[in-house]
Amino acid sequence: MSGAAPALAVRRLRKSFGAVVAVDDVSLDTAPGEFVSLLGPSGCGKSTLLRMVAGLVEPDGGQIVLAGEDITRVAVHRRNLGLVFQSYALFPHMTVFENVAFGLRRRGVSVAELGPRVERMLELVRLGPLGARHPRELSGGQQQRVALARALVTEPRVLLLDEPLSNLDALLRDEMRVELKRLQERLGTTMIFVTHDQAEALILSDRVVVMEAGRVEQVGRPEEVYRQPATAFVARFLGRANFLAGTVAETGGAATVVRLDGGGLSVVAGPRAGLAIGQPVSVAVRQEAIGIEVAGAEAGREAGRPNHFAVTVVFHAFAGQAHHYVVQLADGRELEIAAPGSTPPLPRGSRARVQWSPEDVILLPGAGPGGSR
Amino acid sequence: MTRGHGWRLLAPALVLLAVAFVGPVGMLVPTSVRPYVPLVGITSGFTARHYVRLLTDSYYLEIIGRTLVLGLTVTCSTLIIGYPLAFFLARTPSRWRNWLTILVVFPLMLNLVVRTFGWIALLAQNGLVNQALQALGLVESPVKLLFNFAGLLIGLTHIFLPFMVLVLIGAIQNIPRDVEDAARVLGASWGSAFLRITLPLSAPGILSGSILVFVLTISALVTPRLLGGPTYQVMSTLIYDEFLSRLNWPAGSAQSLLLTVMVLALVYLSGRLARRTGARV
Repeated sequence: MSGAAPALAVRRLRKSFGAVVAVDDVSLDTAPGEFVSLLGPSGCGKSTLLRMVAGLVEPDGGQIVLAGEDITRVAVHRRNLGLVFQSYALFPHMTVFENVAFGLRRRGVSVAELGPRVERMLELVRLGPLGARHPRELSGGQQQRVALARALVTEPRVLLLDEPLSNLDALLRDEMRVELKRLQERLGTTMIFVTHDQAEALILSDRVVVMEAGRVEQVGRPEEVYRQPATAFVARFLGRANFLAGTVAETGGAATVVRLDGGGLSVVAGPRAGLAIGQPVSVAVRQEAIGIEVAGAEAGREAGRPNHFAVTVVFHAFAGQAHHYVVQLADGRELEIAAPGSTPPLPRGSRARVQWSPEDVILLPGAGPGGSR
Repeated sequence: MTRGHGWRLLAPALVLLAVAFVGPVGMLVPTSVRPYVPLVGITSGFTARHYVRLLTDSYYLEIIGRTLVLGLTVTCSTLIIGYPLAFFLARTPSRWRNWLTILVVFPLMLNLVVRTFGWIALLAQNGLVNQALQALGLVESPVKLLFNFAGLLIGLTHIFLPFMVLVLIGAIQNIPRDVEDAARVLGASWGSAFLRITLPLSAPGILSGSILVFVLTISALVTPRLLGGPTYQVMSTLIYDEFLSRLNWPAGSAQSLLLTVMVLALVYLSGRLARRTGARV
C-alpha cells in the first residue's frame, strides 16, 4: 500500500449478536481508489463488517475512520457513503430517474444541476433511455445498474457493495463484473466488495481480505492469497487443493522436503524459512497444479524424480474446460486433479503418472488452522 | 391455470354471494318503490317517494351525513392509533411479538354486547372516565360522552382498531428493510426515509385497512344502538327501526339500498385508487 492516508480505516472492530461473535477484533486499511474484497463463507462476518461501516449496525467496540475522520458514532445518513445491496433495494414506487436522484435531493442539490448529473450517471451505467421506467419494468442486471448509479451519483467517499452480483445468473454476473471493474477504474472510487465467490474476489480486487468466523485470516493481493495462503482455511477456501499431512525431512537453500505420513513418499517444495526438521506440516497442492500423463515406458525411472508419482486413475469426469480425475498413489492415497479440457482423456483404470513443480507446493506449518500467522 | 379452472375455484363463493347477497338485495328493489300507508301497510303501485324523502328531507340527510362523518372519523382515529402500533409490532425483534399481536386481537374474543356495555359503564355521567376527569380537576361537571358522537367514536374506534392493526402489520412487514436502509445510506434521516419510503410503500395496507374499517363502521348496528341510545341515529339504526318498529318496509328498503350503494361505490373507487397506486408500487 502507498503512504497516502487510508480512505477508510477500521480499527479493532467488534460485534456480537447474543452469544455469537460476528466480527472479532478486525482491523483494515483501505487506500484511496483501492478495490478491496471481503471474502469468506456465509456467516463469517463480512456483511456485518460492511454494515457497521455503513452505519446500519452499531459496533460493540472499535473505530471506523473515514478519510481521517472518526465516523464510528456518526448517523447513517451523514456518512456520505454508497451502499449497493444484493437485493438491489430500489425504491419500487419511484422511477429510475427518481431513484438515482434520491441521494442528490437529500443533499439539497439544485434542480438545475440535478437533472444533468442523474442523466450523466445513467449514461455511464448504460441506462440512458430508461430513466422514466419503474424498477419492476427492468431486468435483474438493469436493476443492479440502477442501484450502482444511485449509489455513485452522490460521489460517495467509499462505495460498499454487499454481494451485488449474487442474484444475477452466471452469464450476466460475468458481464457485470467487467462493467463494475471498468467503472471503478474510470471513477477511481474506493470500493469495498463483500462476496463469498472466490473467483469474483480474485478477478475484481486489488486486495483480498479472507475472513472466517469473524476474524481476518489473510490480507493480500489476489496472487498472494491464492499462491501463498497463510492458513489451511485460506488454502481450502481459495481454489481446490489436495491436503497431505507429513513431517519436514530436509530444509535448505534450494528446497524443503516433506516426508508424508504413513508411507515412503516425499514431496519437494520450494525453499521456505522458519521450518525445523521433524516439524509436522500440511502440504497443499492445487488440483490444477498437477499434471497428468499416460504412463510411458520410462515410468519406472520417473518415480525417482521429485514430485513425480505413478498412479492409477480411479475416476474421470469431463466438465468442459477441465477433466476431473481422482487418482490413487502407490500408498493408496488419493489425489484430485483438474487437467485442461483440451488434453486427451485418460479412462478409469489406466496407469498414469502425475507431477507438479516444487513452486506449486504450499506448506502450512502445524495441523490446526491459523497456525502460521 | 386455465380460465375454466378459475371459474370452478370461484364457484362456491359465487353461489354464496348470489344466494346471500345479490338475491336479498335484489328483493329490496321492488319493495323500495311500493307505497306505504300507515295502519294499512304496503300497498300496490309505484312511488319514488321513499328515495325522494331520503335524499331531500333534512332529517335523513343529517343521519346520512353523520354516518359518513362517523365512518371517516373512526377510520382516521384507528389509522392514527393503529399505524404506530402496527409499525412497532411489525418491526420489534422482541420474542414477545406474537403475544403482543394476540393482545391486539384479544378484544375481538369478547362478546360485542359485553364490550359495549363496558364502554357504557366507563363513559356514563358518573362513570369511571368522568370520575377520573373530575378527580384530576380537568373538568368541573361531568362531560357528556354517551348517546352522542363522542361515545360512538370512542366505542367504534376501540372495536375496529384490531382490524386496522392486523392489515397494517402485514403491509409493513412486506416492505423490505434493505429499501429503507438504502434510503438512509443515501442521506435520508429516519423521519425522511419514513415519509418518503416506508409510508408510501405501506399505502396499499393503509387503503385496505381504511376501507375495511369504514365499511364496518357505517354498517355497524349494535354499538351505535347501545352507545347512541334510541335518539342518536345512524343509518343502520334508522334502517333497523324502520323495519322493526315502524314496520315501514319500503322506506327501510330504500335506506338499505342507499347504504349498499354507498359501500359498493366506495369499494369500487378504492379499487381504482389501489390499481393506480398499485401501478406505481
